[in-house]
Amino acid sequence: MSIDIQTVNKLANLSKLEFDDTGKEEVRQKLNKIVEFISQLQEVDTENIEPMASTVHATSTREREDKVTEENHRDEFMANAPQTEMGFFVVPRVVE
Amino acid sequence: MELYELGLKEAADQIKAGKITSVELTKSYLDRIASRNEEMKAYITVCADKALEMAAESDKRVKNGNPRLIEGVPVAIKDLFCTKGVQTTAGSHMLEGFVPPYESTVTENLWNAGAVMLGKTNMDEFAMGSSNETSYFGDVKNPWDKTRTPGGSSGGSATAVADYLCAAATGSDTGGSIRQPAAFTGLVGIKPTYGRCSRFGMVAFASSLDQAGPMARSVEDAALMLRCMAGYDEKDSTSADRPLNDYDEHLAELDVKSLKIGLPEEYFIEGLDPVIKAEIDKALENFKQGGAEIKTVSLPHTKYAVPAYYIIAPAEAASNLSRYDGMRYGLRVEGSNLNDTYCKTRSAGFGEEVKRRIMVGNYTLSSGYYDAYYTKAQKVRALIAEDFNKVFEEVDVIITPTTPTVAFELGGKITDPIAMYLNDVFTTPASLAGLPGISVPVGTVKDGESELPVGMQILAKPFALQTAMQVAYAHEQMTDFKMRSAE
Amino acid sequence: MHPDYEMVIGLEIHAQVNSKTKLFSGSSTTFGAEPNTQANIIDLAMPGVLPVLNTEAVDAGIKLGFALKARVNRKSVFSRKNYFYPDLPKGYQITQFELPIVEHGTLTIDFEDGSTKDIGITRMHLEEDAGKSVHDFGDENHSHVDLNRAGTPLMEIVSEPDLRTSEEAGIYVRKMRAILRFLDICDGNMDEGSMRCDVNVSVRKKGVTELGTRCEIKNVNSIRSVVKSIDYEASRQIDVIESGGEIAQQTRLWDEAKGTTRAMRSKEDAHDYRYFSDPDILPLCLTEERIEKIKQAMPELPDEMKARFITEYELTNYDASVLTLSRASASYYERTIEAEEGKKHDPKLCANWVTGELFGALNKMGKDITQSPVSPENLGELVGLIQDKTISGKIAKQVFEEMLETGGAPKKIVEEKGLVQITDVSALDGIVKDIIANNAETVEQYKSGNQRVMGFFVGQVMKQTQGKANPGIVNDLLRQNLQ
Repeated sequence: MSIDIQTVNKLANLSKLEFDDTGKEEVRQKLNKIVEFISQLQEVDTENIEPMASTVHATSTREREDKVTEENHRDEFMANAPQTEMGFFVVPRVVE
Repeated sequence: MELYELGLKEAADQIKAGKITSVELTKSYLDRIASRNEEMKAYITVCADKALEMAAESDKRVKNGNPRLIEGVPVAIKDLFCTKGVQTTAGSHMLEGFVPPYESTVTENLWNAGAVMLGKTNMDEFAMGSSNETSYFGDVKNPWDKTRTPGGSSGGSATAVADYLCAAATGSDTGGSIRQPAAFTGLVGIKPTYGRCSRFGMVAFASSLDQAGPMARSVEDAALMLRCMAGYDEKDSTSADRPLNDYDEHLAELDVKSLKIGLPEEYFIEGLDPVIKAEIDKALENFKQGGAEIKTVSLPHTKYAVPAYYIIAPAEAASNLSRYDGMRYGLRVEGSNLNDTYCKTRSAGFGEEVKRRIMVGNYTLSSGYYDAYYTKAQKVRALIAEDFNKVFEEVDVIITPTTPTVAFELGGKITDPIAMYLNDVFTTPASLAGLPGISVPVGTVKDGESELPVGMQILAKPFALQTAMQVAYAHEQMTDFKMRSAE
Repeated sequence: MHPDYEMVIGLEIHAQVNSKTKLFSGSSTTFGAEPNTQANIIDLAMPGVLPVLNTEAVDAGIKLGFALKARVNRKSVFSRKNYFYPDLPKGYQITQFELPIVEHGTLTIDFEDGSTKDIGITRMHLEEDAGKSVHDFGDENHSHVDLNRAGTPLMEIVSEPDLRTSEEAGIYVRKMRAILRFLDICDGNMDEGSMRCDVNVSVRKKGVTELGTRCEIKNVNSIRSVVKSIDYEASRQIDVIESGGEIAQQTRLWDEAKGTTRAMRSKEDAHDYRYFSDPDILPLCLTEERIEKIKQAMPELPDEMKARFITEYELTNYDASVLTLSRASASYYERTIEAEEGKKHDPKLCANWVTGELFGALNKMGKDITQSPVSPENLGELVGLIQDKTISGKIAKQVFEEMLETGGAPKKIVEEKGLVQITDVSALDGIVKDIIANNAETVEQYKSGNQRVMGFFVGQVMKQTQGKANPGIVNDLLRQNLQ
């Protein structure tokens, strides 16, 4: 399985990353090597093996009581924001 | 002896006994950092004022007769742990200037145990790297040889501890990021069982693998440090709700005569530097002399751990790093529209390795490839865990080299991702299985002009870290390895 | 609607769990707070923060599973749905994908003619809501994001494509809302967005069994809009097909003001959400004890209550279904029956008054049953007055008008206004005799066989008695005197 430039473009779009043409070609080559490397797994017999998503052996995920534990700290939380106005985060226009 | 040469336990004892003050000790570290950090680049942020404030507070507590476990001892925090009011970058331009309005649970626990924060240590960007060279904030130097890497991703912490720029430090280990730099710098580094330390407030790389742990200059210090970091946390759904050991108080309780050590044949293979093998053999010989049973065991899926790891970790990372979008915090590079802003921000904010892993993660998760890669890797992960389960029916601990080579030259592998990934060959299997592991120094080898440390990895069953620590401690008593003294 | 076509409709209802806090954080979910004052570090997806599941949302899901006669999965899994959007702080939504908490249910809808239809429920899963982008102020190049709603627990209820008309879809939504409210797990307020619909519509020629290409309509925020948007979209699709075109599968936005749908400009690229199980949350495994406990505590639901009303009160299927559309109206109705101690009011008469006069009046006033100026006790008392013939039905309507205005008790109104029915035969006989004497011409008409003038005489009596005469007695007396 070899990665072509179209795949790089698609992945860049999913990843929200951009590359110039040289960068794209470099990424393509490195991704190809990595994909070749990880494709080694295909030789492992995994029939009837359950995929392991986590190593935690709890009976169920933790659940929280439905109790408000948070107060308003808007100003503090927004202090790192690139742009705010009237308590809103200001972002490039969202088109629906 | 300079104050900065004191270990964590020693320093805590002396402060509690009133022999030294926390402010004196803190100043000693701050002075040393001031003279050395520009070269070593161990710290991204040094918080001198805060450290002195905390130290004064500690001295007050000692005076009032209510000191805590490590009262007044200055430590360094990997810049992956969010610290309230102190810049937290994860080694990335993306988070340069980000000041969290909250504290990670691990650091909160440390402050509650009386620790003093010296600053935040350098690291591979978002913990993705094995040499610290992916950091936006410069390459960290290995104090054993400044042309070499201290390893990664907790390279800043490794150098901070090994160069006596703190008493101990926190690290995080996803595929070997504590154990490998510990091995490269002659330290004790512990990756606890997954779930032992809370992940809350620790910038996520790969959620199912990330685990915080300590780095220190002795087993006892590392054990004590972990005791102050770990514990159940209801804010982390994957945190283990089970009692915490007083690790450092039970180190000498091992009966070596009844110890069964497993040596996995798959780890002693081609590619392993023979001088490393020789050093491990020396350590094993000591155990043999002490009466331990040593047997060869097999972990047949070992060679698939690195490829499985490099599917699972990037997949989780690609998703975990989606929040860095320039909207609510962190870097924003304004583009011509929303999509352009996303792309420009993330392209400018992330370095090459991080971008590559995001791309790989999105490749293996995307429709059409998911089962072939992601599901397959999770199945292989199950097989690897099963390999360990079987072996642990026969042995108490597994001993392996921590790394296939000693610390390599800066710039040596950074252009070849696969070569870099293969550096994790001995550490990723335990990460995938969620097992606890310790790297302890076993000796040094000559490489060119340099004398470089070699690390030995001790793995145990889930939540049997105490056993691994006891083995590490027993080894420490027998080895002729000497930590380098401060330059 | 073109007579050759039929619609195939499936609905995705997003119902907000009425929990106090969010699905994965302890932030409040109160509606209408100042922007971003209910968004904590978890909702804002700050680095390193982690989700912990709200137990209330899980319980709500189990309850709804039972109410929809569905399978409650003992193990369900939370996954990440990855995409970038400013109102989605993490860059992924935590939702249930492969293993939802509830699957394979049924919802029965009721028609006016008393018939019913079962609509299949494919699945119901728990997920978190997104924030809100506001475009109404500031310059045209920017939007404003409020993340108060981000992380609010939602139940996404997906129906099978079993609905065939917009009317059915409307009834389905109303019934689902009734169930959610009966369970007290969602307030069902569509205007506050706590219940929202995405509508999947396709059309096909009658007799064709394959499904046509569907379009998904988003942003449908009232039952009226559900009906209108489906009608619009179906005729749009038919027009496209009839003029030789093909339907493109797409997401469309309902424009309430224009009454039209339009293709969405964003998210136009084929989605690849890269779902995978969220490594921050372990699988949710439900114990039999927990499920059993919730099962035991299940309240009476609309269908069960409807069945009871039909057998216990002998109501028609439709009256019973209308009365059980909300717990408030059902309980109002039952209180009218039991309004007076030691006396049971005629259930059918009560049902007529509640569904007829009362619902009509409330509808006109734009009020719901909980805001009724007439209490169920007073309405019951009124029915009692009719039942024991203290007043006639006609007077009762007059009294009811007064009750609506003043909220007064009917007995008092009847007394004060002297509206008690005249049942004194001798008094009425005198009036009847007078009227017959004064209308000789009309009497002749009656005697020559024109029965219809009877009404004229009754009217005259009522006029003289201000409507208080007992109509039965008046009829008897007129007949006797006209012999």
